[in-house]
Amino acid sequence: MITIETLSDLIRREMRGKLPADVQIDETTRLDELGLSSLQVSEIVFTLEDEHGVEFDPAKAADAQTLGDLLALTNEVLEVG
Amino acid sequence: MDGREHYTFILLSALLPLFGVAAAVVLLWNQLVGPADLVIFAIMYVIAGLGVSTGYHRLLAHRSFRTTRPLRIFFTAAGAMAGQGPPVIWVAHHRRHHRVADKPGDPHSPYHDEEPGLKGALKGLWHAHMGWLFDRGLSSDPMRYCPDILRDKDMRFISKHFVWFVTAGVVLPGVLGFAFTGTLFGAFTGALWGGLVRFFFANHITYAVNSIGHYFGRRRFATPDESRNVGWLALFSFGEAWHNNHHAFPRSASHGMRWYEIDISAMVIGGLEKLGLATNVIRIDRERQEQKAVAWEKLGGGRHARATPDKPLAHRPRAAAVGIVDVE
Repeated sequence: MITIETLSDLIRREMRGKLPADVQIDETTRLDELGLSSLQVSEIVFTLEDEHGVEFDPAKAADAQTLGDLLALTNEVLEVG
Repeated sequence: MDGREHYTFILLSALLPLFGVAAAVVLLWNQLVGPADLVIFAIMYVIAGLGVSTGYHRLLAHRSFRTTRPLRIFFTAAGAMAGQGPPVIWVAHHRRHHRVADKPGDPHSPYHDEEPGLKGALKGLWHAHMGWLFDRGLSSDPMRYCPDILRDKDMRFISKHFVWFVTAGVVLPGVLGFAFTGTLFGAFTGALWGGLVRFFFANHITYAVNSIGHYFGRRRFATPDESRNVGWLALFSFGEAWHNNHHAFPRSASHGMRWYEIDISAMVIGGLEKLGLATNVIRIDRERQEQKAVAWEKLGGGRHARATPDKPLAHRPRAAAVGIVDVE
């Protein structure tokens, strides 16, 4: 089970301090409002895979729009695994 | 990279090599070019060219063969040095290009904004050559197009640190220049020839495959796009210019389909296979070529021909996404 904190740590690491100051990170935050490039989003998703030893359905991962979607996807796979 | 950084990178990668070529011409004029410079140019041209052709294109984008991890890293790093973009992004654009070649959605078709007349044609060619790179809004969704590349940690690392690899592509020939001549001037001209001048020539050859290769040349197969075989570009593009053959059989490790169609990249892959370093090399025999040729002929060919685009890799059944069952 991962939490929004795990995810926001990962995002901060990826953005290396370039995260807009006024942005609120919660489950409704959309990936595109964080200013992440497509490469950075993929980096986050596939780092999650690596760190938790799971494999997402790539089509579902590509459909994820909010951090909540991404959390749900990860936890769903973690529960099954 | 965000949109602005991307734009800056593209602008620099278009202009700096051009200035480099101008500087090199001035040096040539003053006979300040040594054999070391030309050797360094050739070495770097081959490294970057094979990186793009054998590495990015055939190994990563089309999975034409498999190889060992060190070689996969080597070819990808060499491709990154060429400066055409991070492997993940390059592969995503390229797979999308094949999916809808010369139709709406193709990232670099010379027919993307069809306007009549010579001006329209030149505009289209420019767009396919370099213009498309300046499109800030263009994104090919790597998660959908290349989950296989993204799952590879090495590929993600190279993609993330891409700019460092491009920089290495200029520093390395400088180091070679110093090693060959022992002078700082030699290091400078080495970086100039092996870095900037090489960047200019190698990349314009690749761009030409996208522009000229969809415009002028012979069509052996009536593929549902405008791809052409451009013989005079074949040698220096390491075989990439047999572009109609390639659109006909994208997964084929060899883009040359006849003995006289020189394809250096295919020779390299064949050589690696003999050494046991490449496996699952995909080949299309003559019979299969003929069969497909007949089938396409019936559909008429060209960009207006009916075609059913493949699904992006992420949406295909699991077996197809990891195996080599999808020969095309």
